[in-house]
Amino acid sequence: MSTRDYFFNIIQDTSGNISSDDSNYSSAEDKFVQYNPTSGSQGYTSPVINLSVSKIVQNLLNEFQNLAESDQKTLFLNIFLTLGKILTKYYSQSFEISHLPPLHVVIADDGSILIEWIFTDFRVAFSIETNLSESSWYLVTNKKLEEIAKSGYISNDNLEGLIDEIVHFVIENT
Amino acid sequence: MYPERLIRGIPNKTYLDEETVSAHLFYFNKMAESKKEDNQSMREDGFYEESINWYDNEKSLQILLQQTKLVKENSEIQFKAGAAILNRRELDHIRNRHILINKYTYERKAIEGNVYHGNLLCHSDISTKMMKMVAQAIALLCVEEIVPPSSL
Repeated sequence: MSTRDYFFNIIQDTSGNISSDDSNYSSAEDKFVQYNPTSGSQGYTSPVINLSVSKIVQNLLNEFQNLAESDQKTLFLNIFLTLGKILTKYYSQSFEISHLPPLHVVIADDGSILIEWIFTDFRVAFSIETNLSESSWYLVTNKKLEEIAKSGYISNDNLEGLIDEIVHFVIENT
Repeated sequence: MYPERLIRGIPNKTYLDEETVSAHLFYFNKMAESKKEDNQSMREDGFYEESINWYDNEKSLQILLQQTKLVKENSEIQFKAGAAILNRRELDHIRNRHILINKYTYERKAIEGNVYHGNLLCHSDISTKMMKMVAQAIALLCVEEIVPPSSL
């Protein structure tokens, strides 16, 4: 099962669009945990992966289900899937991710979707604009981390490398 | 003229994350909106504004937290999630970066019933992307304290 298929299963299960044998699970997070990948022939090696990743991306999953169909939603989904994939990759390489806080998601007053990852010494953010071509990522740090201020435009085509760098930065600095 | 700290009201809980604030508390929403259609919300000097109170004394915080707005003919507390206290020196540090000089500033501008009122000001030359990065920087570097709505 590919990472994309894996996350799609979770999304479809929790949105109720597809019938599921695990309808007695109490929450989406339970599904991440109890969707035991060791039962499959490929992919993930421990339910702990699911718990760690799901805690980080849970708010994205919740917000995803509230979004109307749009190009914004498509880019949001791709960011969500890519974050899950990259986090899982780092976990599988024995990087510690269980201490990372959940991503925060909000629809801002200007209609953009703001995804923030907030730490004591830095912040990472993605802003998915109503004009999709203006969508951007941000990294700002404090003096302890040399006051970095970086940003750039994002699209569906440049996500994986970008998010890999961001997650690597996050893991290295927490 | 300007005290060490300033106050930004927090309209609701969507602006909060754990013990800090989401950066969209510092967005210039009229700026983003006006670039879609017209520029009616831009001032004659080319700046967009977002309200703050200067923290001259405790009365300033009290006035902000008690501020009301009309919603469907009913008067409601405007900042239901409290207020963020910001450090002005950190804000100066951000706005003194080369690209922001003379483009991101603040002012004191008393209004009826609120002598502490002022504005954060962002020039229309600044892109939405840059404005939002500044918002992230302010949220990270300037926020000293979150005051809950029930504290006064």
